[in-house]
Amino acid sequence: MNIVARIKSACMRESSFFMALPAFIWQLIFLYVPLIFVIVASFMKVDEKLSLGALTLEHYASFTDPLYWVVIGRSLLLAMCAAIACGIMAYPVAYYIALRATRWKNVLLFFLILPFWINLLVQVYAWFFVLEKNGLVNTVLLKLGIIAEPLRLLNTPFAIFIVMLYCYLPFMAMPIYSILERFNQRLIEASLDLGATPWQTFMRVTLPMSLPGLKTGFFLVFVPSFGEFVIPVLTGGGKKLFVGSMISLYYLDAGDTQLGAAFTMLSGVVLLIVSLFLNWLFKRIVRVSAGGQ
Amino acid sequence: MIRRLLSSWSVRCVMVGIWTVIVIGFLYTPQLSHLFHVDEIREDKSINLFVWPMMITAEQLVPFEQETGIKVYMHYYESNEELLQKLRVTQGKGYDLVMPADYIVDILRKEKLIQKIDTSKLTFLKYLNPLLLNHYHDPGNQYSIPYFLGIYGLGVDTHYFGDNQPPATWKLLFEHQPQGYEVTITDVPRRAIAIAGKYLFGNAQAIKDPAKLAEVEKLLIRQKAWIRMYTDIRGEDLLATKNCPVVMTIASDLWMIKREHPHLAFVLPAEGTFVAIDSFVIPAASEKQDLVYQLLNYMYQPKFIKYHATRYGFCPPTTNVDIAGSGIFCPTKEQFAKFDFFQNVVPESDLNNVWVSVLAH
Amino acid sequence: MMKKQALARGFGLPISVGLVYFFLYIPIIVVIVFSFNDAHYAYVWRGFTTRWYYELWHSAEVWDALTNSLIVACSAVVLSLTMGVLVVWHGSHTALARLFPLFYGTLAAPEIVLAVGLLTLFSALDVELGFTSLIAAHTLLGLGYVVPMVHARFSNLDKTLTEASLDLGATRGQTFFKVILPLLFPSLFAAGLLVFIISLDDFLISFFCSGATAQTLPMYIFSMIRAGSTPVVNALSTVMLVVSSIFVLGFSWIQVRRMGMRGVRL
Repeated sequence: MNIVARIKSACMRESSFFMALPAFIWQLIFLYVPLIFVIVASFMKVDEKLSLGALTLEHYASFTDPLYWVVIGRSLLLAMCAAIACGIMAYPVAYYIALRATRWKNVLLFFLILPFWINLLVQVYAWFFVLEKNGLVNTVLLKLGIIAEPLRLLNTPFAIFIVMLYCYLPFMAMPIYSILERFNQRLIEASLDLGATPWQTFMRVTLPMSLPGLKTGFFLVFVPSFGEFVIPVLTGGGKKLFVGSMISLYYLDAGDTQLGAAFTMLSGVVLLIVSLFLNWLFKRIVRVSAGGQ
Repeated sequence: MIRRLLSSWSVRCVMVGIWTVIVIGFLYTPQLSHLFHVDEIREDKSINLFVWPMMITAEQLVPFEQETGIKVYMHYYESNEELLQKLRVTQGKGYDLVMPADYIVDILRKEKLIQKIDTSKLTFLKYLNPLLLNHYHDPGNQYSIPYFLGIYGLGVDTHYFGDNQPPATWKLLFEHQPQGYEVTITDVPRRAIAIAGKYLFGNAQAIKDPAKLAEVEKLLIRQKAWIRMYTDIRGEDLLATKNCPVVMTIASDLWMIKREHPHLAFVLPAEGTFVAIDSFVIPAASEKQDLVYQLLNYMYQPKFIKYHATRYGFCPPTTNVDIAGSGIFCPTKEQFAKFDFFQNVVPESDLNNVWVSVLAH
Repeated sequence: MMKKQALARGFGLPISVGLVYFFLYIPIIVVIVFSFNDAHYAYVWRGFTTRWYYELWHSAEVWDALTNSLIVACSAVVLSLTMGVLVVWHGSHTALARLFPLFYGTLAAPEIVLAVGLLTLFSALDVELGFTSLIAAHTLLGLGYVVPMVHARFSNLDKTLTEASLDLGATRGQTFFKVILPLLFPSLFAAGLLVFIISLDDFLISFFCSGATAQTLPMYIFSMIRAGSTPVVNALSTVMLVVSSIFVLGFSWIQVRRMGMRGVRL
């Protein structure tokens, strides 16, 4: 076979490859290459122009300062609390809609999902009206005489926590709902028939089987919350730095992209390690609860 | 067999190459379209304006657009540092008229990111307020035309203090007050550090000394305990909603909110204060100078200036505007002589290190 | 005593569910109510007015931002759906199939890392930030949803369908358009809608990678919120809420109709 014919036949053979390629190329260029750039930038010496400077570890050296670890720790704590609180709040709702509500199922589902479709910024803005000094909470509490002076709710860690909880609740509710929805109700009936109380049935049957949904929901809340930027900035008053606002500070305000890259790397690695650990923890819990049956 | 495999893989590589070129080409389409439509650019009658949100009302430019057929696109920045970053990264491409603060103009001029203004094309220069001209950032005003004067001071809720109006001093912000109330200061690192420095040491240049800068850092960290929020724009909001009785504010912002809340007062601290002059500059990469000059001539007409000065509360940059009775604060020559600018005395990186440290504690 | 306990247990769940819904909707209701508030700054009710809606309707900046957001969102949907379908259909039986997990990276990475990475890429390549960079970024987000969703649905389809169709003499093209595509349609529609909303909503990536020409709606809202500004934001929020509700209603209605019409789940 001559070259042209060989190339032609190769093209025909690889036509599927060709058609499937764009998505991969897109993914590589816009996700993985930038990540590599960030990794490389974190090792670069500060240079006036973006030309290749010498490789250095000096940015990482500055991380011995506990300052950075406080920020990372704060974000981890916030993400944990948000995820756990979301789990506690979302589970009953998902359970009720999936397994109890019969007539109102679709209506309840609609109203549960609706806040998810509202823009994050609008959600945060809405909470200003509730938490403000003359906002809803204070007005009601004052009128009822429960407090004498308006409470200071905005620009506190409490405000950040509540708004995080609000914005991420649907992310937790949906995976739990979708797993409970496919749940075989006969198992519950069988358990009750065998003499178990409703609580025991829940703990021994329903909850373990819904753990995968809980796990998905947990990570759907935990991972984004860690790097959350908008909510701490708008509701926290900018007083305390979190991972998201720190990265933004370096990239947009300070223009120190190298240190910013290094810090991004650091937080990314921490997040990965913590996530892997939590994943392992979940697996153990599943194994334990399955073994207990 | 091997031959087949080889040709397979080489074809695959070529395919990868083709798609990579297509995707990256997609990214470059704006620049490519500029290349191919060079003539159109000259004809393209549009100006990209990049300003701070409360300076110019888009609707006021509609008569200009109708008269000249030049479309003006407004873009807003959140902070001067963001503006500087964007101009450095994009080399000023995409914007035709920008309004940075004086210390940014200083940097832009030194980094050659802005171009000289052809003063022969502008008709209003003789009306410009001389107090705003010929400062450190642009001697002779070859690059910039002042528009907005921002005067820092205290916003005070007179109802809160009643008969015991507080003295006019920065102490109200930087020292813990017996009443235990909370305050706000600006969230711009350079400005907060400069004002704190002047309060501690009496002059704006003192923070050049690293030891003194460290003192300022300690003061700011100590101050965090009674800081409600770091903000440049929401201070008045907190003042009006009775969250904070004293805030750091800019005269024009306070004037705006005073209209609905007359009991709020703007106070100039006795230790002296800082001002920022926001001026129009033209990025070096812009080729629409002629269109921009037309826009500038339009914007500096007394009618236009008066509308914006009496809407946003700033002292008009031109002298042929009458704002008597509006209550807008216009400093006299004597007062202006005591004002300081936020000059670049300390390298940005040091300022940022201090600020990160303050925020993280 | 037992009856009271049973009653309490019976009502415990509905009450806590009700509380959660209360929590979800109180802020929204307050925003809507205050969009009619006749005052500039305070959160105190002063009077009823619809002037903020009027101002919203006449605000050129809002319309510009909305147009930009729509252009970017539609482009992102078209691009990600096309590439996603192509990659699932063509890629599943080539060597590339093993690389599908790559698409999960987008969701795994925190959005701020994505934003920062994209900014770094664009500045390194000296790309002019604007519509194309935003569309590129949003398409990336879109792919991260489209590919997993379509791939999941495709894998669940009976493999023998393709074989049967080919055996009966259809070409690959005909098989795709007449057999596979209609079956994939529900997940394509769902994914497309999801990408559309995500793109419209996206703030962080637009904030980091915006150029001169493309300010999106969320970016506009953010700068208005930062400025502590007028109830125009409330009016805008209410409008957006109404539009979102219509979307979700429409989407659920289509889902319900399809479930009703098809007795068989493939």
